[in-house]
Amino acid sequence: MKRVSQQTTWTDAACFVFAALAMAVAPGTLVAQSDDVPDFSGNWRIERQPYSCGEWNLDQFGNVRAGCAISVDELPLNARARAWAVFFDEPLAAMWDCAPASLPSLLGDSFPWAISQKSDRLTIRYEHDDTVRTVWMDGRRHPFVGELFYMGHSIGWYEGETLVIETTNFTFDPDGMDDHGHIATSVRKRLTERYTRIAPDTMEMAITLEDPLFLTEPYTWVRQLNRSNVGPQSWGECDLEQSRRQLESLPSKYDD
Amino acid sequence: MKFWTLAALTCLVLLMSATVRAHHTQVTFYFMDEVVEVTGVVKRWALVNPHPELVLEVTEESGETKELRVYALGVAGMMSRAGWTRDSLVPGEVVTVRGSPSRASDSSMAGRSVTKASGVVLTMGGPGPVQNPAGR
Repeated sequence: MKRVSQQTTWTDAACFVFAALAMAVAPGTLVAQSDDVPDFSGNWRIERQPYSCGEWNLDQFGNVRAGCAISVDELPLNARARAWAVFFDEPLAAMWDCAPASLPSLLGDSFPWAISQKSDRLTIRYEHDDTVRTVWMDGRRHPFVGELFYMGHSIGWYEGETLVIETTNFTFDPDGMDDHGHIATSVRKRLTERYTRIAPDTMEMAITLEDPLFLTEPYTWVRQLNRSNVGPQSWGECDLEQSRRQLESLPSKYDD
Repeated sequence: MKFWTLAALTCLVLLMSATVRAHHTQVTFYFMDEVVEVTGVVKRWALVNPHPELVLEVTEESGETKELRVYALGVAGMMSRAGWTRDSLVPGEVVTVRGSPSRASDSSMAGRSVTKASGVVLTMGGPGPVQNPAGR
C-alpha cells in the first residue's frame, strides 16, 4: 500500500506540472501584450456621425431614409441593391423579432465596445443589443461555405501592428449592408476589418465590404475609435410581443 | 384623427437629433415633424427593447376611454442610464405625454417626454430637458 501511495504522489506531482504547463499554453489564456502582439484590449468607442442613406433611398411615404452607418452615396451599389431598398418594407427588418444589429451596421454604432484578447480568440462585446462576438485567432479556417450564421464566422490574425478580422458565412440579411438604409447582403458577403493603433488611446478601423451580388466592387471605409472610460452597459431585454406590436404603428406597404 | 383632435394638440417643428442609432428610421413610423400632447392615466410601463412602452388610458370628450400606446424614442439601456427604472411610472398616476403621432394608428405614438403631476419632466429619448427621471 505504501508503494502505491508513493506512486500516486509522483503521479499527482507529474500531473500538477503537466497541468501547469498546459495552462500556460492553453486555449483561452490571456495573451501577454508586451512583445509580438499589439494590444487592443479594453473599452473603445467609435467617433461617429450620421451618413446619408442616399437621396434616392425613400421609404413608402417618400421620406429619405436617414442615419446610415455607411455613406450609401459612396457605395458601389448595383441595380439589385437599389431595387431591394425600394422593395423593402419595415416588417422585413429582423429587429422586430428581437434580432440584434448585424455586421457591418453594428460597427457604426456609438455605444461602447470591450475587446478581450486571448491566445486563441478575441472577444468583442458590443453594448448595442448586448452582442458578444468571437473572433477565432487559433489558425482555423472558415467552415464549409454552406454553414451560415447571422453574424457570420470570424477569424483573425495579426499583420505587424494591425489586427485583421475576416468574417464570412453570413446568412442572407435584409438589412445586411445598413439597417437604416435597408440594403441587403447575400451569403457571399465578406467583411474584412483592419484595426491599427494610431495613438495611445486611438485606433483606426478600416472596413472592406465585398458582396458580388449587391456591390459592383469591394468598398472600404475608415472610422476612428477612442478609448472609453466606460465599458458596455446592459442594453436591456427585448420583448418580442411588444416589439411586433410596434409594427402596428406602420401602415402596410403591401396589400397582404 | 378624431382622437388627436380631442387631445390637447400642439404642432411644432422640431429637429430630430437622435445621437444614437436604433435599427430603423422613425420617420417611417411617425409624423416626426408634429408634436402632440396627451394626458392620461398610466396603465402599464415596460422598460424593454426595442423601445420602452407606456400604455395610457385616455378619456375622450365623449367620455369614452381609450388605450394609447406610447413607444419611447430611446432604448431601454440608454434610458436606464438616464435614471429610468421599471418603477419610474406606476399604474394609476396621471401623466402628460409629448410625442409624435403614428402614421398608421390613432392608438399609438412615439414618446418624447412624460410630464408627471408634480411637474417633473422625463425625456424618452427625444429632445428636451431631463429632470430626475427616476422620480415620481
